[in-house]
Amino acid sequence: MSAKISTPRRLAAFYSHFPLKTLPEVEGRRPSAATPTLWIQPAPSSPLSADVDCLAAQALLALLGKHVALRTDLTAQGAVDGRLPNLQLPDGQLLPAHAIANWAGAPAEVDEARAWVSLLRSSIRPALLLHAPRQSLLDWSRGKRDEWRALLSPPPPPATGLGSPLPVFGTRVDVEGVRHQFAAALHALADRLGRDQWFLGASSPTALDATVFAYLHCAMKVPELRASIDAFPALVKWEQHVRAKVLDVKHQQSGYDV
Amino acid sequence: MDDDDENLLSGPAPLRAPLANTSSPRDAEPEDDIEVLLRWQEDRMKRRLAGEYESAVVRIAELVNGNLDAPARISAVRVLGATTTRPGFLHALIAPHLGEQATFGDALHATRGIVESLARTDAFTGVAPTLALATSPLAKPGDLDVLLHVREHSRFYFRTATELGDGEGSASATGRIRNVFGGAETLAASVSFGTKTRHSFTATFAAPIVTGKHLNTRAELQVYGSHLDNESWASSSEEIEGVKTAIRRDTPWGTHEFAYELAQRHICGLLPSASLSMREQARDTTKSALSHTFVHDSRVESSAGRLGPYLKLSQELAGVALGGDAAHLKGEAHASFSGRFFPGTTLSLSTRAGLLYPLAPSRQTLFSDRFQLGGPLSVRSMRWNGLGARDGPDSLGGDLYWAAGVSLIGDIPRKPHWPLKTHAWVNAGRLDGLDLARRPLADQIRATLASPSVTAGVGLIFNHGLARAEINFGVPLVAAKSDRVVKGLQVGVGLEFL
Repeated sequence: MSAKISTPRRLAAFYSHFPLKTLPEVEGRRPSAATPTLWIQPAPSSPLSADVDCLAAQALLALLGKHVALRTDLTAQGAVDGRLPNLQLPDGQLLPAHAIANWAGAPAEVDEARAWVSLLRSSIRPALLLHAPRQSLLDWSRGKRDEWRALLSPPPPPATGLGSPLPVFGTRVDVEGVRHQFAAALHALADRLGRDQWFLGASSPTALDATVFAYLHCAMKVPELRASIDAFPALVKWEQHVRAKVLDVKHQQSGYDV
Repeated sequence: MDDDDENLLSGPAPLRAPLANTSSPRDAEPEDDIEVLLRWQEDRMKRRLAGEYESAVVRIAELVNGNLDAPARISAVRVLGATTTRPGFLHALIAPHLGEQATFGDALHATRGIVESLARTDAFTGVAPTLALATSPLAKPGDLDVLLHVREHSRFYFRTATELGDGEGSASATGRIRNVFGGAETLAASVSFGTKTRHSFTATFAAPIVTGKHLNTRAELQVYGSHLDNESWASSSEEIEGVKTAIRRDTPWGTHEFAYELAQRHICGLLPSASLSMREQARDTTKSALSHTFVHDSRVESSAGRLGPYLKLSQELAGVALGGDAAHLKGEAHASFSGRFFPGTTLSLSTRAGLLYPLAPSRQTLFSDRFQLGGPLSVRSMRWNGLGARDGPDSLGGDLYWAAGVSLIGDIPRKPHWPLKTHAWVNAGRLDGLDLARRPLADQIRATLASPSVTAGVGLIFNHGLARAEINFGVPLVAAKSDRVVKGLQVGVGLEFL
């Protein structure tokens, strides 16, 4: 229970005279977008994002025929929940990643789709992380270790052990295990896709198709993983087909209005 | 020759009985109370000693002044007690003073210069010079040895403190090592935790640069980091880590500092309510910049605060060939003057201005480099950083600002010695962004000067050394729609006020 002290009436009446003169608002450059704008991480020399989650959102909006502008100059630090992609709406709202599919009107995910997304996350994402470019010494510290612990079950042990005088740092990943799981996931994907145009036999693209495309596209950028994917021509052909559809949608780079 | 003279000249003084009264009537020796008598004798002893001391000083002064033109030369300088100071450093300090000497006056002048140079190193708590006849077998008649008895500062120093800064309080721990390599170098490190600056650290290595007789140049290398809590006005936090190297030179007009700074800034920790403008600015940026700062501060402490003139000019060039994300030319000026107005009152005039000119191709400046204005330490009756462009709850800062203040500070009636003073003030200021694509710079400067926010009020000031606390009752007279005004009471604690 909070006690609020109200301004005495006479004092409030005195304050009401001020300011004696009011000037117009100070002009400032505030970002606004005439069309919905998707904030994504960029990729060098490609209109498709290099980040799996951002590419999945980009692909979903394209496959559902939603015309959005793109912004690649923003970082995850400025995003809602610290995670890209975000969707900026003309009314000033900024939607987090998990709300984009709902805004786009994507059909609700069925249980099997959720299971496939979980498989992709636990089997393909570790392989992408294994081959991610080393950014700095900080990769050995808390940041990257937390990523591995979130992806793998059980979480991988640290690089230093009980017998080491060094403080806990780094991660000891079972590289062969990760590669084996990656290959098994590709096999399962190829089997499930079969000759269908869209996953799970859907008649139109769903969020699962966008997610699978994002993972496959990012994996095909890694030479070591590309060789594994080439063993499944159906997946390669499917990825090319979806990529063509995504790139076919005209994306305009957004300038922002003042 | 009369009888008295004969008595004085003839033989020893006559014997007197024990405890006979030998005082003369002029002494006015008390006769009654023993305690009073003892006090009288003590006072007489003190008077006699003071008189003897003054006589000795007068005699020495006469002796010195009478022999200033006597031929003399310093043949050797010995420094006694400098156990941790390098001989080479001492030689570099002393040698420039040992020029051509022909007279005793020259030798005294050189000795004074040497003592001043040693004192300026801040490595010694005391320097006591002594002149003695030269003891070297090679010395000529009239040669002198200068003996300098020095007491070095304690080498290690550690302190914990709670402090009040500009609008914030903090707790800190500071460690310092003097005379690190024997050349009056200082290595200091400090860690602090505060209300606005959540945590910060600095490590500074400073050393004097010996150039001629006047030890007025210092070099400094500093590594620093801080975490600033800007949630109340920018829905974010800012982390800064950097390294700065500077050369500082004292001149009769003031102090010049030339510096290079490389800093990494992170805008992070956004609140869920952060505006789109702040989300755009949330990123890592680097600043690589050269700067020059000139400060002239001849203010003196008084019960009414610091009186006198103060001027600070600073310029900074970032980016371009220096690299980094920040690219701008920044200039800032602070000027103030305080003086007695009429008995019991002090008039204080203060003005500040700054320009941040973008040099990046996008013609945009970064949030970390922009100016902020408003609050109890600048334009009163405005919230902290309450002027300028806003986006929702966030203050976006600006590229062009000016602020001016007039304060009349008076003594509390019948209590002029109190550090508590009355205060009446008028402040004005304006903070704008630059849009060079739309309007020329001159037009924007004119518009900024022509449309300030103006506030006025009265209050009380408490002066405590360098810091000052104010409690004011003020109102905005002229304000922009976007200004965050404070009507009524406002408290401010800090070092520099408008």
